[in-house]
Amino acid sequence: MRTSSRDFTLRRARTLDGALAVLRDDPGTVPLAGCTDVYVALQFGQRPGSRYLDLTPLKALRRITERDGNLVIGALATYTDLQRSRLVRSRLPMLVEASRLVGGMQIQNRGTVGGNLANGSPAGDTLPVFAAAEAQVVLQSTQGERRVPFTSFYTGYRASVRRPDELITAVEVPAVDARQWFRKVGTRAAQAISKVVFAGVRASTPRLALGSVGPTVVRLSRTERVLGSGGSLETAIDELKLEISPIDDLRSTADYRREVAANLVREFWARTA
Amino acid sequence: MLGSRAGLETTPAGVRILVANTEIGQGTRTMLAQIVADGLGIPYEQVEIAQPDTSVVPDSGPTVASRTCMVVGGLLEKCARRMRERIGHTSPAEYHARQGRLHVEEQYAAPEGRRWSDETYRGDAYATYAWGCDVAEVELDPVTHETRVTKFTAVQEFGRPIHPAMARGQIEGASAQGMGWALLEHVVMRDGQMANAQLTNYVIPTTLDTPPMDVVMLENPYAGGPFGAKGVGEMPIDGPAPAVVNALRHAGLDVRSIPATPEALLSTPRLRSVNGASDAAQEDGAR
Repeated sequence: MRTSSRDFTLRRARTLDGALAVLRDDPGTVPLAGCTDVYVALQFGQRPGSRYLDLTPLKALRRITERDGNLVIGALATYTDLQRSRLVRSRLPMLVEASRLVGGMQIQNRGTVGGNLANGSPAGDTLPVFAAAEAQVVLQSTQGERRVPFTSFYTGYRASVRRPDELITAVEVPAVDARQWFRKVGTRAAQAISKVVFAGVRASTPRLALGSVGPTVVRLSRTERVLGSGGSLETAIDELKLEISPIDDLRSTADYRREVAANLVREFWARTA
Repeated sequence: MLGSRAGLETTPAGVRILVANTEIGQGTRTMLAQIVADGLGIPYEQVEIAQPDTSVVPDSGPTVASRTCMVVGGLLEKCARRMRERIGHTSPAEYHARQGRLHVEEQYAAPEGRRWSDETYRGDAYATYAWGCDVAEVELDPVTHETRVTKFTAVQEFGRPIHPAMARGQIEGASAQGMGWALLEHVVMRDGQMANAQLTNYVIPTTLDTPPMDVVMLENPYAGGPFGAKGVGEMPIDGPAPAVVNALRHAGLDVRSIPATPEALLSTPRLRSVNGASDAAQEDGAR
């Protein structure tokens, strides 16, 4: 690793209350789950923190359950767990599809939903799914629990409303009663980071979200309104191009992202008709 | 390189190959040991290979230019036959036990009829050539501008393969790399430096990016090489990119550089004529 870990400290959480107490007393602590993003950062010479809290013993946070009509996905559920879960497969197949395309199998075995949310990369593959599914993020601290709509969770590039003393403990997804569609456009067929990533729900007012086309995942509310009120697909596409702000980077170009984002919306519309 | 030398010596267990060429995963050690074992008529297990340390091995020339098998392997075949003449019907190990170490060495000489001057560097630089033909079948995704090679056929003629399974592996590996070069391997330069020099952002093909391949090795034994072999090292990486680009042109895209990434194809002009007739021929016909 390019970053020295000599002065790093690692604590291990035995209970959720214990973990929340650590975050209250030392809010600079970085919670760890699969470490699949932390190790990349360290290898790039970055320093995500010096004090770490290992959450992996908190098995209860790995559960995927149904509660009050919601699909409740524990923050420590891995991408492999999501693919294997009958609940996720029947209620949120677009999340299964997204999980199948994250990194490779090793990453899918280690990487977690909570980690994908906390890392907050605009290229995170599960994020458009949660945006289109109207999910809520469950945050816990020693002061209690609160729920934040996923679409207002991020405030900017890798920035969110999560306070340093809060832990993401679950994502709650209400029932999705319309056709779901997901497509990732990566740099190659596997082991790829998204250049554009799309999730959509074909409800009477459709819900569309895109990743890798702005500083955060983007819910396309204006495009949705055009489509939901009977506007033409091409009018919606014009609106879409105003809603996203892609850039040139190592993986792709702004032009490509704009063009392919529009094509993905067209494909979604045709396939879910 | 014309002075390249290779040696062979007896040991208590058999023989040891003395060459300067390096094994970098291509199977050189296996292939050279096969040539020596067959040249001497002894089991493969009795052949060992000295580390390519120049205090121990002669100057065999560099491990380049697809020459190791044909040139250095050829010298070793001669060494093996000469050693067999010297030791008669006995085994190298028995000879070693009775007479002590026997060492033979061969130096490269240009094949008869080939003209080359080391002074002026004029003449036939290469004694022979290997040949290859690649066919790429591709699909273009109109939504993402991604190209997927759906099937790849590589036909290669490099004399007679010494180790067919290894040669096939070299051809498959090189073809996969060639297709990566054609479609994926985009070097991003910033301020004079490569900005994507990590495997996380420099994109090479995974198994899922690599199509099913048909590899055909046309056997055509070459009299100037060991057991009829020529070289295969570099050849199979040469054809895939032109084959992929020609497939894209056949599909109507005026591709003129690689890698033909989706970003590049987005702004690639369409050819005026497609499906068979080249645009040049079309233009000629129009004049």
